[in-house]
Amino acid sequence: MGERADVWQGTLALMVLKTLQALGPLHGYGIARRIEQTSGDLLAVNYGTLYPALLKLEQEGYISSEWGTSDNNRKAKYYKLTRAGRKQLEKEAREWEQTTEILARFLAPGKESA
Amino acid sequence: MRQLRALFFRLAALFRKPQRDRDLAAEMDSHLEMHIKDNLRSGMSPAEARRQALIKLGGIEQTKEICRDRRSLPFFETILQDFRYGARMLRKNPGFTCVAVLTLALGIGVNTAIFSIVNGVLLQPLPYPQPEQLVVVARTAPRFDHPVPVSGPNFLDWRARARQFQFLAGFDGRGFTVMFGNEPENILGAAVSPNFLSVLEVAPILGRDFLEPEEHTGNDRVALITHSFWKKRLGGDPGWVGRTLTINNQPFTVVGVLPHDFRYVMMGDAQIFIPLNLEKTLRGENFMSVIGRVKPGVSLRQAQSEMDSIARALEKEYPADDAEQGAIVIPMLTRVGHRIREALLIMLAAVGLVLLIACANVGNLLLAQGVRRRGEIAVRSALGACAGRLVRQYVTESVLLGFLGCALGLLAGHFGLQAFRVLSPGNVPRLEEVQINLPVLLFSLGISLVASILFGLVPASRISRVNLADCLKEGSARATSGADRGLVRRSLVVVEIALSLVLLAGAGLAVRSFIKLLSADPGYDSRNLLTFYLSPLIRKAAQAEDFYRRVLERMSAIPGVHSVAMSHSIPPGGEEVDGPVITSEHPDMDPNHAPDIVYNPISPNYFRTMRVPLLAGREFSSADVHGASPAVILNEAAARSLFPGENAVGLRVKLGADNLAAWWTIVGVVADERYFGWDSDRSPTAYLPVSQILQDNMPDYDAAIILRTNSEPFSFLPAVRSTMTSIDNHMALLGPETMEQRLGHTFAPHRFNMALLTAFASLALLLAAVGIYGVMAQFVAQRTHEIGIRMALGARPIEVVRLVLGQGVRLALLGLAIGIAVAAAATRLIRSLLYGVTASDPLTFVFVATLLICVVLLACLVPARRAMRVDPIVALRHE
Repeated sequence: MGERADVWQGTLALMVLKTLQALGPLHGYGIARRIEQTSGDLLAVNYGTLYPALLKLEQEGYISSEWGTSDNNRKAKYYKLTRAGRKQLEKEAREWEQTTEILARFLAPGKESA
Repeated sequence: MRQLRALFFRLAALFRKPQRDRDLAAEMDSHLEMHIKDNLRSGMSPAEARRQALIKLGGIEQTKEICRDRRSLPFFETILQDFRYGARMLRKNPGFTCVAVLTLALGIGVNTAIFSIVNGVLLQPLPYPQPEQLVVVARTAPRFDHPVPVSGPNFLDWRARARQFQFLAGFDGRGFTVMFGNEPENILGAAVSPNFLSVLEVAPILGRDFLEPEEHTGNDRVALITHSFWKKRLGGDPGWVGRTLTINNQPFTVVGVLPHDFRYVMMGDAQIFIPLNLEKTLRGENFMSVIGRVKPGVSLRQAQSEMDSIARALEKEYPADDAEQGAIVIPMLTRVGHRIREALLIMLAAVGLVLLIACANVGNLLLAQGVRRRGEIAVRSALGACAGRLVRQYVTESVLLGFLGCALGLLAGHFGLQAFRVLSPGNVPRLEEVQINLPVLLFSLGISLVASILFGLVPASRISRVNLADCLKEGSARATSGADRGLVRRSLVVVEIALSLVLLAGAGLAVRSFIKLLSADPGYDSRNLLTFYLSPLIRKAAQAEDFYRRVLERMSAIPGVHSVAMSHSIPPGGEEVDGPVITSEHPDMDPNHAPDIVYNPISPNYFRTMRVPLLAGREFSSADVHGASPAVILNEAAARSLFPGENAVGLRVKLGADNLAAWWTIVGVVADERYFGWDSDRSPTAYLPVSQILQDNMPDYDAAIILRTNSEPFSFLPAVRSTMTSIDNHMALLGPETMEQRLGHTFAPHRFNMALLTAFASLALLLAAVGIYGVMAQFVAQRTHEIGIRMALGARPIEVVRLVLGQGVRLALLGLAIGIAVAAAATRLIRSLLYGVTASDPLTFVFVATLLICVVLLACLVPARRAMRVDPIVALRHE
């Protein structure tokens, strides 16, 4: 796993949490599709990398999983946000905003002087 | 926190793996199904829909793999795998497993037992609160190279002046005569300062502690008793507190009972404590020991420097008694084990060697096993196992063996410890505290782990050099011997033989010492002597003289008793009373630098009773009484050291026995008796007539009575008892024993050390024999082909035997050479356990070397016979 993957894992976790907050309980495939659609198909990664991220979030207690039935009556594992997950999402979102804001200032020096 | 939670889940995931795998597979399936369905809906062909879904996922197996790595801890998982695999291998080779585990269990068992004793006696904190504050304060004097007892007045001054101590308490171990109904009995106990229990921070469970005024005359008839004495001798009746016990013919009120787990570590068998009254003691009369508890945060150095300045002040104030007398502060823990420390550490080293030999053996077994497993290893590395993984597999297997060995070893250690308890000659303090507790468990686990990594790395080190292609090609388990694998195995055997020799040399020296002890001449005729002590409660010299005169008269009237004598102490191991001696040739010598001499006040017929030969002059007679010219008899050692080359008879000496008051005329010289055990030197001794030594108000008038009988001394005991009762019906015979029993006590520790060392050395020898047998058997098995060819070419069986034995003897000789070199250095460390032999005693070395060679030859004989019987046809066809 290179550095890029680490960054991806970090942001992926945030995206997963946000997705679950927006859509409620959802299965892995649904989360993957949603992330892909939201990113405007800009993010084209293997869906497979999503599963270890889900596992990690679950081990850390931010999400929980449960077997259920999908819209078209299929068995699927549903993930949903826990209370700790909700808090973590807020925290990470805040941090992410800060980071992007700082980065934005760095990357647009012209505006700063104006 | 979150990471911890995750770690916990990952650890948990090590278990119930199949279910988790099914779960993951189902999730992947449902993912794919949903994706394919969507793809179909967007108009793809079924095949294309599936292909695209799989591409997007990135492969089912790959996804599962990364999930599995994330789900659990791959490192642990492989270790578990290795363990399971290892366990399977061990189960498949029960013979190998049994031999290896038993070998290890022996090694670990003896180590566990000995370490538990080392731990319990030398390391474990003392069984009192804040044990690190407890110290012993003793006297130092230029004439002694070890700490010596303290006098009452000096102790009282120490106690009054010391500021770094919370408490200082005096202790004087004594034997008490206690009346149980009409039966007097000797009970061990002590006189202690009233704050003795405060030092140890122990409180009575019943009644109260001593009070401060109880160390003074008038208040001092009180006693504290141990729980076991209260339970066993007084029936455990709580009403005993406040009742009186007749101790030494005086009524003592029992004021308290000590807790059931209380034991004074410096005198474990003390059962009765009375206050120590120091009012009538003299500054020059050193008899007691002192213990103390330093204030919290006070270091040993601070306490020591305070005691140094107190001792210096006392030196100035009392130059007559305290000149050049120092005080030394010793941690109590150090002091408790000081007599046994060296022997225990030697035993620990010995069992360490046994364990090393056991490791070498198991390493050898694993190597032999490794040869058989070359094919398997080759296959595994061909399938992609890296060297590290294979080494880990080996080490895991040996650790598994180690754990099994440890479990069995703990059991063996437990029984070993029981045996030690039963057989120990009673010279190990705190033995009742010894147990296999957590530190011992950790020690055993630790040594098993270290041992298994040691012997596990031996075969593992071979892996890197395995030539894959060759191994796979050979296919058969009977791989030809790489010359250098033999080298490792042979080196191990050489090491084993060398280590065994070291142990055997140690044991051999101990055995030789013991034989020397048994045949040593104590200086008197120890057969048919009955001995016991008397402790009359008398205050006046005249009474004592009268009492002992009656005892000697009445006892010698018993039919079958040749003669009866009294003396202050009985050899061996009598009570040590010694002091300076000044000769008429150097009358101005400073007493502090004068030579030391043991005094023994005796009755006139002592030498006749003990059968000690008179070398010059005369024995004491009934004329040597108080008022007559002071007469002294020296032993040969004293005469020779004080008056070298002269006839001592007629010369004069001053003795510390009467504070160097009078000149004593030497009237005779007798042969040396060994006083403090057979292993002691012949101490210079001065015998004094009892009647010239007795004074009024001595601390005690205790003496030993020695009877020479015409047959088995113990059969005289009833007659002696009834005679005693007729003289004084309150008088117990203290510690009646035959002289031979007394001698037995002094060599019991030697016998025990010898037995232990011999047991360990035999174990080592056995293990080494098994080891060399294994290597030689392997040697023959590997060379069956070659032997077959040799025989086919006309070699006679005897030549084949010579080939095998020659190989074994070469290894043995190399091991012996190394072993003798190491042993010559190592046995010097056990000098303190030896008697009458030097640490490099050639006879012992020759003997153990010969023994070792014989055992090696025996171990080689079986494989040699097998080699001899090789059928050339079969051997050649086999290839």
